[in-house]
Amino acid sequence: MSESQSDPPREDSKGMEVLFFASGYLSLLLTEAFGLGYAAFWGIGLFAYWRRSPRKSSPVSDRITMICLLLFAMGDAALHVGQPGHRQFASLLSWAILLALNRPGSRSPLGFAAVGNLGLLVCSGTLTTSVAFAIGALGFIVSTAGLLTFQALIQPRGSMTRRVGLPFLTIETNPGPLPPSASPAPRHLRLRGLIGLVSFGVTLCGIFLFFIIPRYGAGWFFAVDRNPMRQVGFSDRVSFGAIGELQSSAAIAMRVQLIGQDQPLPDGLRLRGVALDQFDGKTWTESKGENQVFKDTARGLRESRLYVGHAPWKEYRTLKQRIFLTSDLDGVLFGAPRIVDLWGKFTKLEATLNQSLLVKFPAFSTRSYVVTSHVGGPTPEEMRDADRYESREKASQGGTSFDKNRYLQLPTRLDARISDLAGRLTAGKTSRFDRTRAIETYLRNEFTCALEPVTPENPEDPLVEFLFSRRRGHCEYFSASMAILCRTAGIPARIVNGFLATNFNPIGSYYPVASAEAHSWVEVHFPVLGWITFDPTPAAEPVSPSWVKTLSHQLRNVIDGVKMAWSVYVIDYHILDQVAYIRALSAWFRSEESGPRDISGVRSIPSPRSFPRIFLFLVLILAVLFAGWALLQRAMTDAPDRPRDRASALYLEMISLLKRKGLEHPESSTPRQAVERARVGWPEACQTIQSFVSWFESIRYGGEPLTPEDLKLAEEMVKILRKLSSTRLES
Amino acid sequence: MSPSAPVRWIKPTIPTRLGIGVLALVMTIGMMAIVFTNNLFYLITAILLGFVAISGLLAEMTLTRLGASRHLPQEVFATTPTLIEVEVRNGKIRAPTLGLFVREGSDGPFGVDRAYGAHMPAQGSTLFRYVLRFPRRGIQHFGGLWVSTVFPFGLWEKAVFLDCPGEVLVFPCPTQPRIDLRRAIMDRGRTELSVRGHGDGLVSIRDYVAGDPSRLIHWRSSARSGSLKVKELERQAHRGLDLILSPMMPEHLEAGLSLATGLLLEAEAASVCFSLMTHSMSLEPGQGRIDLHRALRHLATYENAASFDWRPPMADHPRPGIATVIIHEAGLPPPWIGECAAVPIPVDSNTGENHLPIDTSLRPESGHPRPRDERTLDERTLDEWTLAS
Repeated sequence: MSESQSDPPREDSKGMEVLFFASGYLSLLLTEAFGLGYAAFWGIGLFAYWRRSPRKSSPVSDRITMICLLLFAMGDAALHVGQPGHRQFASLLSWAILLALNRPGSRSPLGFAAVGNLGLLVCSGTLTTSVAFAIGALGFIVSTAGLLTFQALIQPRGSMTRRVGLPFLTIETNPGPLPPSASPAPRHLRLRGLIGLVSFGVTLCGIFLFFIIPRYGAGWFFAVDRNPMRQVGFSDRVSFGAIGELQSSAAIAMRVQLIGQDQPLPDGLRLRGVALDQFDGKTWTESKGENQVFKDTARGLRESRLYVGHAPWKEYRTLKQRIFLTSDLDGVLFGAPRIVDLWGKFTKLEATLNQSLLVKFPAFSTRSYVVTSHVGGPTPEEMRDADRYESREKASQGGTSFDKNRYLQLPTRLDARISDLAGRLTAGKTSRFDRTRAIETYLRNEFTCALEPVTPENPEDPLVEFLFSRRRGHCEYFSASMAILCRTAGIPARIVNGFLATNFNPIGSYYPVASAEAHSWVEVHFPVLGWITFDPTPAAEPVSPSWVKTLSHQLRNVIDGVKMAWSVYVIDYHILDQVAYIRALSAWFRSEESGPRDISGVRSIPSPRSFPRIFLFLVLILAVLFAGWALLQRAMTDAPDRPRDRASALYLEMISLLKRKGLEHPESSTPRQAVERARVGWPEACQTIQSFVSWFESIRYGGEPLTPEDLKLAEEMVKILRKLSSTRLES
Repeated sequence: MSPSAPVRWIKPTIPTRLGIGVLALVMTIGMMAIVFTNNLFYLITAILLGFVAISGLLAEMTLTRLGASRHLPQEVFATTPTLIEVEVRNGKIRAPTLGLFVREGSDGPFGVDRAYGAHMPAQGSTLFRYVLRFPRRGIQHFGGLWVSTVFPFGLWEKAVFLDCPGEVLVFPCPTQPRIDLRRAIMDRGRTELSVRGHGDGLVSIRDYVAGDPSRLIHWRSSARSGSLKVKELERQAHRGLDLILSPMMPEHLEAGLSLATGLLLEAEAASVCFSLMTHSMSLEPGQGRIDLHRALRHLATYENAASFDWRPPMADHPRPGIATVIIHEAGLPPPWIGECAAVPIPVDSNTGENHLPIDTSLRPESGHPRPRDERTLDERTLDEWTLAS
């Protein structure tokens, strides 16, 4: 039988190769770094390769295809000069592969296909962090598994099969006749189920390995290399309408996971952003001053910690939030008030005079951090009681002095009706809390929150128009109104812009905070207690959503849940997550209650002193697994089931025993020659060998039937020989 | 499984070129992942490692619970392409075995591919066929088979040894004699001898005796008489070959055995009786395949005599109507069989071929070599091969 054959025509597997490459290009498209034009030309290039047959190739059409691809590649390079290097490299690679495929007379070996496709996938990994990468990776797994399996099963080495191409993905199996007792093999082997199963196995194995491969160091993602810019609404200068502009977008600004809590908060999750204290009638700004800069290394796993002490009131609840910022929001650190602890990787962290936290994340890294807040607030009695300390009012955060006048600032031209209104609302109330609450209650009850954008008719004094004319507006109007009314009444107040998340996604148990949930509220200062949150915006009228809206809402939850899981378990996965998982696992083994998987609670990786124990434990596990596998192998090894094979096996063992005694027995020697050799070199075993040989010859050549008793007798003889061979010859 | 055979727990595995390439890619992308700590690079690395792991796992599963047995032909000649059939059984309950290469044990785990089968169903078997050439005669032992697979991805080739012991007796490679022995034997005239034998002519009809071939049953007589009757056929006593193998030099022994094998095959093909005599044994005249195999087995295990002094006992030779052929060393005088006629075929010391013309002087008065006879055997009749009185 010939051992090698010439390569069969490649048309049969070309369809599979095209799918293979298509998955690589698909992963590039999903990065959104390339548009539909690229998709069209890449599709043309792959189609031309697929249709091109070496036997029927037309040099003219091949050259035309090559020229078109080359022109587009050059045009693409020229138009995108200045793009990041990894993007240019991805483009170059994509064109190079197509040009190589369509080169006249080209034959694409499997290695080139594999490397090219993998290169496209790696390039797409530098261009995105979105969950779309998983689709490209899955396509890579399926196409690679399919192509490699297809190629491995139709190897031409000594093959008696022939190739059968797509679309059924079948190959013809060994066409030789089978013994009557054997079950017939299928004429065609369908590979689709096999490829699916293999792909599933590779996916599972890959996921498992992904989670256990140790990580160390800060992640560097090329796709997130953006300079932080404070978004409108959260900058140090906010005009009326900015928050309303944010609220018109449904894009997800951040995702907030409550650590240790799977249920939504009853009043929603309030995320504080920036606080503004100066108002000129139309625009809120922040007082200029020296920010408090916190030391931060942000190298590797070293985190920053900001600890400002417990809340000064009696009843509070600790709420830990793990926040994942999207790329649209940067520069400001959000968290539930009152932030007492912060963990994350920052290159810069500073606090403004109004305790707004400004951050800068490392370049090419994702933006996520953990905030610990003391939520809740003082009781009305506590707030009334704080009036006793008004004379000694000072800031209770950070130890800085409290400039009351800053928070009593009013516009130079303030309508008199505002102060009249404030006077009427606070008349008869002595405590700061009662007066504040009166103002808040008035705004909540007497005004309407507008969901649609509101354009003031009097842009010079929108606040007056809101308070005395329109009586309808966004939350920024309410917060501005309350802050001004409070200041008019002598109550230090400021506005805060942030988010009020009410949409809790049960898939993943987190808050997907959309831009539409941007919100503005008021903070009022109380002696000793500090800044307390008040929200004068009334709740919007509940609207019963239609079933379509409900369904689309649920679908959005599912999709966003997937994106959240992608962020948590893939993009932001690092060694502290692994340590937290291991600790949870060990606690489970010890039947202990394991706390929430809180990476901010992991101070460091296990100490080196525990490494020997870990190593021994792993060795023990491996040894047990290996022993089990070896026993399984031994148990599954088939014994020869034919008596004649057993007789031959015994004969071979006898020969090996002879060899052990130094009596070589060439292959062509007869059994009787073995007897002669034993007579000379192993006399004590000669008689046994002679009896064995006689038995063997009668079985093998004499046609005598082999009974179990005969076999047992032969085994006894071999046992005797074994015993004799183990004893030393006496000199 | 033989108790002393080692259990091969660790199956030999080698990477293919594609496997080496994948390993290189894993190292490269893994290094990129470590340097940048980019989780997407880690994901790609994990996927590639997943391919490697699944490849090893499926290859291991493919090669479990396999058994093999050989179907060896009855006639195997040295240096002659011989079709070997190997049945490999898949003992797995549900999982098929895919992409199996079969090799002989002596080829090594990754040696020459003998056969390939793409699919073997669960609880089923597949017959593999390949050709082997045995270099020499004698007992050839088969230790077992190596079966390997590159399934599923062609990254590794993993092999397992299947204990499949067996042996085959390889007959000497037949050499076509240059003399037309068949014609010589056939053309010696057909003497109708009413001697019972296995020929074509009907001699008589007798009662059936246990052991008589069923083809000899004469049904008409049996029906008429009510008991089984068999035919007695004429013996083709005039067509026969007595082959005598005399001691030869070791370097010419194989050539002589090959010639003897060729002569016996010719005789069997001509449906004539034949017998074989050597220094160590003597076979009764026989006819047919079974007797041929008996003679060939002796030739396969033939061992040269210690000396050249052996003389065949020629009381029964030459037999009437039988061609007696002696194969002997060319440089030595043939073992004369007294006054019997013989056809020595000298084995040329250089080429090992038999020569013509043949010495036809049959009168061994002095024991000297007979003068050469230029006539071919065709021109002689059997009557010339008579005992000299």
